Amino acid sequence: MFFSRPATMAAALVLAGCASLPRERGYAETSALVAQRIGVAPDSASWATPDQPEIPTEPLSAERAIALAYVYNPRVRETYARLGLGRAELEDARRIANPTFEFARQRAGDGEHPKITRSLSIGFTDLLLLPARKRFAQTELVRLQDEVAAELLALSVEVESAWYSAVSARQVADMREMVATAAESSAELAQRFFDAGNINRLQLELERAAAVQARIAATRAIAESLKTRSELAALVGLAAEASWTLDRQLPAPPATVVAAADLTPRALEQRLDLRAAQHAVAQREDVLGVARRWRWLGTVEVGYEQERQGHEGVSQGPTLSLALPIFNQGQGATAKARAELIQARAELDAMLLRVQNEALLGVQKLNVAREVAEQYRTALVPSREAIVARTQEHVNFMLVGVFELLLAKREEYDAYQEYLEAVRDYWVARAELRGIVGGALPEDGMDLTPTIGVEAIAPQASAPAMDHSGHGDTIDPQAGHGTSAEDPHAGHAPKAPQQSPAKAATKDTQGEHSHLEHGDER
Amino acid sequence: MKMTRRHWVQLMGAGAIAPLGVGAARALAQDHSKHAMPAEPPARPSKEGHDGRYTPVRTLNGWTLPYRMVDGVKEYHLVAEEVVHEFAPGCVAKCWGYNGTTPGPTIEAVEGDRLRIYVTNRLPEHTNIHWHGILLPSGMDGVGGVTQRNIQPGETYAYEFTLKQSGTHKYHPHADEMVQMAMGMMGMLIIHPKDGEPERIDRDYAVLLHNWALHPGTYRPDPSVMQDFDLWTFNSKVFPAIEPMVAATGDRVRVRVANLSMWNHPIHMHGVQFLVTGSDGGRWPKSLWRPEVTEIVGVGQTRDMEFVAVPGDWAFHCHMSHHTMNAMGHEIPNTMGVDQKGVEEEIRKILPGYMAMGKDGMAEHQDHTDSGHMRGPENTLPMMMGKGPFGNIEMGGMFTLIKVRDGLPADDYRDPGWFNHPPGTQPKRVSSDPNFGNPVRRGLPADASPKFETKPVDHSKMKHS
Repeated sequence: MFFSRPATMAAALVLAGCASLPRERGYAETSALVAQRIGVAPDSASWATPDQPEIPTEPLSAERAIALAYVYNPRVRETYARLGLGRAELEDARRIANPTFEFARQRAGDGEHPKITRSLSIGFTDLLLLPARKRFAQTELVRLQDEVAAELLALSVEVESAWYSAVSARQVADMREMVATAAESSAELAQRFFDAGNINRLQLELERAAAVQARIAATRAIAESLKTRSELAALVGLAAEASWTLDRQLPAPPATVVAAADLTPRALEQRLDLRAAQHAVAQREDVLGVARRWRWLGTVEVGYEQERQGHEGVSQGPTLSLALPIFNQGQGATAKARAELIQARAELDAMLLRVQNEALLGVQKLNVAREVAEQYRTALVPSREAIVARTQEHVNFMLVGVFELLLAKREEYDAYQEYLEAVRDYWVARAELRGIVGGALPEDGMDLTPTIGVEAIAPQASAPAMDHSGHGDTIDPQAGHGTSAEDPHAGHAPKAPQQSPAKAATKDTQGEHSHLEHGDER
Repeated sequence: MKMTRRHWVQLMGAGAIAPLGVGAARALAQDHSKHAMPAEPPARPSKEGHDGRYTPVRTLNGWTLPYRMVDGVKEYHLVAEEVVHEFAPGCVAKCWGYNGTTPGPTIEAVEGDRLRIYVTNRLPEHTNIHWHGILLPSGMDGVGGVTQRNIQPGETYAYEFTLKQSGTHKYHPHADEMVQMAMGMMGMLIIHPKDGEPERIDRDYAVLLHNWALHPGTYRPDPSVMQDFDLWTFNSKVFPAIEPMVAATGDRVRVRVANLSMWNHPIHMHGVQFLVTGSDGGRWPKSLWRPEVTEIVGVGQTRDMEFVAVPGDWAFHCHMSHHTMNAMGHEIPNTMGVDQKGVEEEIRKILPGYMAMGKDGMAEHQDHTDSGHMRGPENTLPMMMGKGPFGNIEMGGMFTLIKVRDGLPADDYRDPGWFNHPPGTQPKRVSSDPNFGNPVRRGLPADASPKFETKPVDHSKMKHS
């Protein structure tokens, strides 16, 4: 028997410990981390044929965009590849170095039998350090999982922000189109006034210039819409020119105000980069401990050697080689581990501070954006609507001219555009806050109402141009005063009742009551 | 006749009840269909307020202030205060006036009377009263700071003087005058001659002209405006809320017109040549009376116009055409002749309430506003109003009618309705063909030239003869 029993047993033990890592190890954990936080997660199984993204037929929602990005965006695979590195390290760490077999055939002189030496040795240091090394690699993989998941979440924030930007840019472009149309009507009307000899060239040119400017703004808005769409496409991994569509309207911001006090603990608990940093600290502590414990340990090798020369017989026995810790007692390794621990702790502290400050700022940004959007929705847009309605009344009584009415309408559109932008700012801030908190926000998933739609301020004219003859016979209630006063927000999406504050405010300003009943001051 | 306190109280009672009956009768008689007359104290012959020596003045839509005799002095009591005033149904404002109205009640007295007029200030700021054109001691003239301390809120001052003249006069504040007059503080003071009129007067009307910057949609006059006024009023009312002047055929009628507005008003009367018989300089000698059909009543002036009534419905109005309109914009783009076909539809896509107007004139406007489908700003009257038996009257502001009928009783001031024209006294349609009669025309009709445009002219070469 060539190998002794103990050697065989040791080899069997080592081999048994070296079964491969499960295929999902690392990936599944990362996906779970992401899914826990935002409900969707990359599925590495779906990357088998990622080259031909399926063109979505439904209008793309923000959630769907994130889900698609997790399939099609190459960055996801690139990020996941880092998990592969961690897995590889773990694979290595779980194994000790291979045993060394040595063979020597030495001849002493003529006629002498050659001396044949065979030895099998194995590094014992490896074996001693194996549990620690394995632990390090496992911790590193967990840290990598957190880090990769954090990056995937960051991607979801980018996708979501891009989605809001693209949808709002599209809405804004629709709006600019209407402004341009209004301005062109105004210019066309000015042309008629000019043709009739009633305004001069100066007034005509002023109107024309305004119309051209509005048209340029509309064209620019289309360009912006295309650009944001293309940015979204790049993040999702779709071709920009393909035929997919987006939701047409952003949801209105929810009514609740987010409190920073609720979010900071949530951020500290959820944020994955924070967890990764905590893992790093733990890992460094472990490393330092191991370095200290084994600082006397040099290279240790145990082996078995057999020597035979001629027929004189065989000499054999175990061998031990040991590095003596005379010159180096592991000082460098310990110092390095300590420095790295200090570094990791400092990074963790910095991150803790940053997360808390970011959470506070993010909440403030969100609430300010919400406040601004609400001001637009409940105050400025209704006020602009009311101004148009009141101006229409002034036009009716020949108190002001039609150009002022058209200008008022354009200002209403402008206010509406700014409202859309404010809503976009809110959602982008919200997406960013989700990134800061590292996952879901308190009211995520609640039902949301859409923003005031374009149709609210651009009612479809149903009545044909009025026949002015035969007055007094019939009074068309829709005509004349119907303008936007009747129900400016009719035609809203089904959930529209929530929009009625705007409408109520409009009604309010119409006030049928006599102001004289209201005491002294008007 | 001496009035006791008891009489005075009775008269006040009668004054309060009388309007209901008169108002109801008028509502039946007059069909301003869409623009119902207001049910408020109407003008009425103030028999109660006079001492029997003269034909009492009828202040259109207004009233005469009762007095009482105290030791041979006629005592009146004016209260300066904020009032809610209706210019016509659909347009009210917080104004300032006297004893609840603007203009304040007309004060009537007789040459030689001694008047004691209490003035109580219930305004938020001081005031006083200037007796415009009255010959009196300097200290009674009512010029704040000059002849008296101003009357502070809550205070009552007594003015006392003897009337040495007769004629048509006014009263108004001479304190913060720009504001107080713009807010409506004014009234008429009529002094009848003690020896009677040279020509007996059957009906005597008083009209006080004023202008108001009651901007569309607002409820209080703006005192800072100097020229662009919104409302032009007879006795603080606009047509069609101004009562008609009613007379019997053959009555000698006098219309006393006073102007406390900031414009001169050419007051024009249809149907007669009236005689201008006086001013705030008093009654003119007969030799100075002159016939007119339009008389400019300048700012601060008064004019008496007398005529013998001729049957019919006759317009009586300021001849400044913007003054027979209610509020309108003066800087709106001119829509005359502007063809909006096609564009109108485009605009209606974004402004469904928009309606192209004014291409062929503004007459269509009254149809739109009357029918209600073109609502205007709140508290704002349409530019033109009024319905007559033959269609829209298209007036506002300083316009009313003199309605003369045969055989009206002397004290009947009720609106007699529309005039029944005798046969053959109205124009009739003879053709609907625009080429009818082939009349002589000169120049180039506008519709025959497609587009006219002037060429630059070198004015330096133009010869002047």
